[in-house]
Amino acid sequence: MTLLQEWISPQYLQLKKIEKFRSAFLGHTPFPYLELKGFFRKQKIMKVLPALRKEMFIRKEADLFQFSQTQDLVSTKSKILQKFRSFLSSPELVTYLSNLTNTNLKAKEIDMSGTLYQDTDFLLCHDDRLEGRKIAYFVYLSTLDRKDGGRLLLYDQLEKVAASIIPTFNTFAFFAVSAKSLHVVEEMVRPKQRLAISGWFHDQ
Amino acid sequence: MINKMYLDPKTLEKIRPEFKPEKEFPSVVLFQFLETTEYAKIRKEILGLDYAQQWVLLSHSYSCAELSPGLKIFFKGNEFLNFLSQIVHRHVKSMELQAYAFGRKDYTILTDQIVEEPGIDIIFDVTGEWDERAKGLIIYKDSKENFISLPIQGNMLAIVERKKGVSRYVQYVNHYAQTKKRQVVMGRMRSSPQKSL
Repeated sequence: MTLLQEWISPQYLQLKKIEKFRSAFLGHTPFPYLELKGFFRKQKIMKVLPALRKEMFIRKEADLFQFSQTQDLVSTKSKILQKFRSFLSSPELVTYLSNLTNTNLKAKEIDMSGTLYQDTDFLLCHDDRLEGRKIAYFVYLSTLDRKDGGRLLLYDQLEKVAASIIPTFNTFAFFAVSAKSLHVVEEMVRPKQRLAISGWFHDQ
Repeated sequence: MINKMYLDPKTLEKIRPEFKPEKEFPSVVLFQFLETTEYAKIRKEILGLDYAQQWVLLSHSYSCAELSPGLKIFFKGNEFLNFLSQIVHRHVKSMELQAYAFGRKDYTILTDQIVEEPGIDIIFDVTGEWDERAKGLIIYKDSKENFISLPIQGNMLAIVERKKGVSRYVQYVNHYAQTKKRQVVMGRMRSSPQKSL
């Protein structure tokens, strides 16, 4: 069994589907993005959730955001999270993602932290641009309802919501970082937790 | 119109040191600033202004309105300007003010594109009953992440000097606000160094 087969659900490894996802990513508006539900093998991702819950989350508040976040998980002591990070930054996954997104991503160097949004938490509009960031990614570990808030909203250049992603457990979502990648995490309006692992892949 | 307590020279002497330039965030917050009856009249006039929604996704969302002639008479009148001059140790010549309303989902974001010049701000708060969980605080922050936040209370006047590198923003107003709004008259002073007062 290859590393990809070990971690990724079989339906995401079929060549025909990969080509379809690639077209979908590049064709999506307002900017290239993709939402892959049930992406990781269940037995793998089920271990990640409790491991992340044990990490220390630090409260972050500023004009642009209000949520809790772990340190970069490069420094985690959790063996499970270390393995998860190793997989996400592996040449195998990075090549897979480079192919899906038509980019040339760098293996071994990713940003990765846990985020926790609770009642009233939010992230206002920004584009994520910072030197080297190419693909922003999210591994959702909670399932929310539209009425809970916490959707990822993607804005077009006319400042209108053009697409949205409702967090669903075991969804791997990502988008291309550019001047167009305006996005928001909608305010959480119910006493639920929105837990995710997120970060960026960088270009070569 | 101004609460007599604040016009008492002894009170002014106590307030003035709070605005010394060597302070990191020279500022004063004056509660019960106007006499109760006058405050009720002024508040009614502020709430009744013709507010228009202003929204730029990457920088702000709020409603604002020009002050009515009646409000200008107070906020740009001699009594108010002289009072301010005594506190900020300089001659306040005029004010640039607008009325703002921050309801649910409103905010301001600090951006590199809009950098305010240093100056002295005034904020007159006419907010009614407010759930603190709704946020909407006015925050002053410097480049070292030091900050002050102004209390949310009706009939409160805040005077804050924004030194170089200090920026102001209004926290995102969340769902606990329901249909209520943060209502303030906010703006900056035009002043010149004071000779003597």
